[in-house]
Amino acid sequence: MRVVAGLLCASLAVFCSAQAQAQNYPTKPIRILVPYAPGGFVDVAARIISQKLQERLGQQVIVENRSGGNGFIGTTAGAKAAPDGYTLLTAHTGEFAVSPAVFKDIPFDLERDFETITLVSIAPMLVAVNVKSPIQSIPDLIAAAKAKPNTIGMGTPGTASINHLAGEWFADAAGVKFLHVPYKGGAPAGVAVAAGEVPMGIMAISSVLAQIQAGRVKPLAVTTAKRSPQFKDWPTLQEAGNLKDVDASIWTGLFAPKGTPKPILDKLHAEMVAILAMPDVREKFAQGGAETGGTSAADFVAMIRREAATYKAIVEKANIKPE
Amino acid sequence: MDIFSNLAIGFGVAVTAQNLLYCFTGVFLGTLIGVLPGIAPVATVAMLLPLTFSLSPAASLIMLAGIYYGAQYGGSTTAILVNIPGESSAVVTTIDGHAMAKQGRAGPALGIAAISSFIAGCIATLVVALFSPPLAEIALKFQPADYFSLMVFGLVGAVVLARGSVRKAIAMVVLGLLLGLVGTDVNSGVIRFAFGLPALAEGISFAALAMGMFGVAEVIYNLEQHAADRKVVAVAKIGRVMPTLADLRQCLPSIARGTGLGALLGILPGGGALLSSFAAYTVEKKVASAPKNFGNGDIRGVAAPEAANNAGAQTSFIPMLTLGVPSNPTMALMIGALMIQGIQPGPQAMLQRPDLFWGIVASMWIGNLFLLLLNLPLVGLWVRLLAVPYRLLFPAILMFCCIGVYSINNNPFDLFQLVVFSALGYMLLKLGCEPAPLVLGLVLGPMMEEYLRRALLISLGDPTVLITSPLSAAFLIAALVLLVSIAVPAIRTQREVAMKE
Amino acid sequence: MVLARNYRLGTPARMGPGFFPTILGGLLAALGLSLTIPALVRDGDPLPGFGLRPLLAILVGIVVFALLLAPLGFVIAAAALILIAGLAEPELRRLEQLGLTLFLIAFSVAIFVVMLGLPLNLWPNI
Repeated sequence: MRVVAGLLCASLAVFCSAQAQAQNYPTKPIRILVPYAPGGFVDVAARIISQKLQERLGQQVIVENRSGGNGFIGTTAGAKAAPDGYTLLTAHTGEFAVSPAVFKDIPFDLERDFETITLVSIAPMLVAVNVKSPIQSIPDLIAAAKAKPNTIGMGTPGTASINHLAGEWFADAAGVKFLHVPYKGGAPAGVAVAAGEVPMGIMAISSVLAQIQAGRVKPLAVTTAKRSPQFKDWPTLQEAGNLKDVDASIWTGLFAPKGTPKPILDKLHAEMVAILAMPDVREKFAQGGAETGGTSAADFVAMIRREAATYKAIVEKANIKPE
Repeated sequence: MDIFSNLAIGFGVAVTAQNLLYCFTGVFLGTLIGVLPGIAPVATVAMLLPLTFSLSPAASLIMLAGIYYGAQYGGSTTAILVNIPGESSAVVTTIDGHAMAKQGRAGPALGIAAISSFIAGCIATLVVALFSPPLAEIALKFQPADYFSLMVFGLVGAVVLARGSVRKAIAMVVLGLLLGLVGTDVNSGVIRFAFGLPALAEGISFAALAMGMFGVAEVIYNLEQHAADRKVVAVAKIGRVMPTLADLRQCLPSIARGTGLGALLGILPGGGALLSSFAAYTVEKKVASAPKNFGNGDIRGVAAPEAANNAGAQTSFIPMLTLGVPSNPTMALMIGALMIQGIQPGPQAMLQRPDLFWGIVASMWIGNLFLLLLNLPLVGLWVRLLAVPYRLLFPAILMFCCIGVYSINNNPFDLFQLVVFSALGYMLLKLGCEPAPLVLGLVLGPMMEEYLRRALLISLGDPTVLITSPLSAAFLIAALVLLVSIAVPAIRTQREVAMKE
Repeated sequence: MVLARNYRLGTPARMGPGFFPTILGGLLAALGLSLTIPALVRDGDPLPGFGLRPLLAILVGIVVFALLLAPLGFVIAAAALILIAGLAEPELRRLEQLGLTLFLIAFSVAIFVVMLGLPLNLWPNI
């Protein structure tokens, strides 16, 4: 029923002079789907941009959380929504770069079901340890894991999360094995490192920053190839551990259902580029150690495709199988 | 101690016309969504988030916090009036609260709920003001093994919730644990018993289960009874609206115990707050004189859990304010709100922005006062609502349940879950099985498993962690004692029954 | 008899240990069985009668609401819910029901959509 309606709407939208539509667009409130519960990393990103889009487009922009099933439910809803520019999707590394490597039978596909608008934010993850742990540097960590494989606990926000894969990438490059300890999200994992439950964790900067400031957690290195511009004194894994290639980041992006008229996509892209360049927006993302995006759709798709291939190799090597 | 100067700063922030207004708006909205079944504070906070962008950080946090604890207050209203727990913490309130309403004492039940929440809120706010940093340290001391044993203790306590057969109560807990297994397993990422339905990957919808089992099942059950002997309160029976002084005196020790327990459990970020009302009820039933009345409309059975859940709601701010650690999704959202405002919550924020920390503490106290002033007059109104003929009332209950369940994930699938659990709840009601232990099993089961497996993972498979950690050992011993204290009388009655036969 | 109802629900957990490596699954199965066996041996109370009319009317009402909500919007779905669930109560008069439907829809829209801003579609899509 809904699909038929969607198709009908789609063909209509394409038919009646898409150009004119884009000039008027938007004429009614826009929904941005977030496939996670409110308060998370993706949700906060969606809310920052929705507020600015609303100001600039003069229409209400509503963030709608459709959480569940590792983000599958919300993302699938985004794939099936009417491609009229009034339903958009904010997704992160998980949906398009990690899940295809880990799960079989994913109900959506980036290039089949979506139009890519732009990269919204991108941030490194952090290898962090408890301050009281005997491990106080990346070489310490590698040495400890070499001495006792599979015993050094590595806290992450969940199995097959981007953090987990980043950790496996690090372990693989260093030729060691950690004991993966999954938590239910970034905040509990951060607490676990702060409480010394696990000696080490792979964290989003935003989920451990408070603990670092409190002197409970010590940052060792970032997982990206470049240092974070906000935290220049944190070395990269490549520098600190003399490891090749390791370059894992966590990003968010804005997408629209496949078939959304080009003029609308262009308008949204232009607005997003302008928004992501605004100093206060950059500042808000910087709080969590993230940089804003604004790349072209083509570059973004190429980046996702590259990451998906890398993660597939890591998943196979580390034998991560949730199913 | 510079506590007074700090509090002075706090009240200076909280008692501005603007912040008073936001505080009031917050608690008012909180009460509203608490009363409406299923509309969760987390959804409301999410929807109001854009509004707070234009406010100062203190004002927005004051309002959002008000929504959170206001909802805890409001949740008891529907639990008492129509047997629908809006939140897991209100499940316990349905037991004695709704029983009181059926006896025509809805007024005193609502009244004592408001009063005990107020007392608990005030005391817990004081705890937050005085002992936040040391308490936060304690919270960090809790390791997975300790959490696991705490959950075991909670589950044993769930059996005590039942008023009828102990065996049935155990069966209900187990059923709840089984239902809790549905969904993604945290430790391996495997999706279990979801029957290929992605919507079940996050587990069974708590709201659908609670509303089906309690609300809708009760509606069906009531409709089935002949109109004449319906167990719904008639107008004539509504006597007093307020609890008497004697009621209040009887409740004071319960309120005190509930507050203490709630305040302590509230600081644990890993699900402690959830246990507070259950634990308070269990303790009350064991400690109070004449425990026979519990389950049949004992006013202390309302006072203690209401005090505990409100105290827990206040102290659960401690990990957030002092460590930057959210104890539940609503808190996570508030942290999100602060980050959008450019503030990283945590120990630094507490030092750098004392106005924020103390302003919130002060606003909590003011908010609790608002809630009392808001809720006591409303009691009369709510009680009058029961005078509406049931044939007109039940479609309204159904509709609110449906909207509430749907609004959580905006997913129609949750409504099908509601149907299934309504049917199940109705059958269980017919069989004399009580849903409260089941709900606790459902909520605690996955957490218990998660902590146990994590404890074993970290200890590299050594099960002695459960005994070698002093906290864990203490909880396990307490659970054992509680179990024996339940089992002995149960076995004795069974023998007596056998002798008679 | 009463507890035997748990048997069916208890069995999925027995798949557990073979299905995923968890101690808990096995523990639950053992517990479920230990509860069931004595219950099977003992005579339970006869099952009380079930009133089908309210049960069906209300459950069907919710199912219809769930099915109609996405394609036809809240107003129509809610009207269907109230009308079907109303069948559960023979004493409900036509006119009363009509008034109730209108009132509840208006009331819900006012509270949930206007005051709380829930993202509900009110009218049919398209």
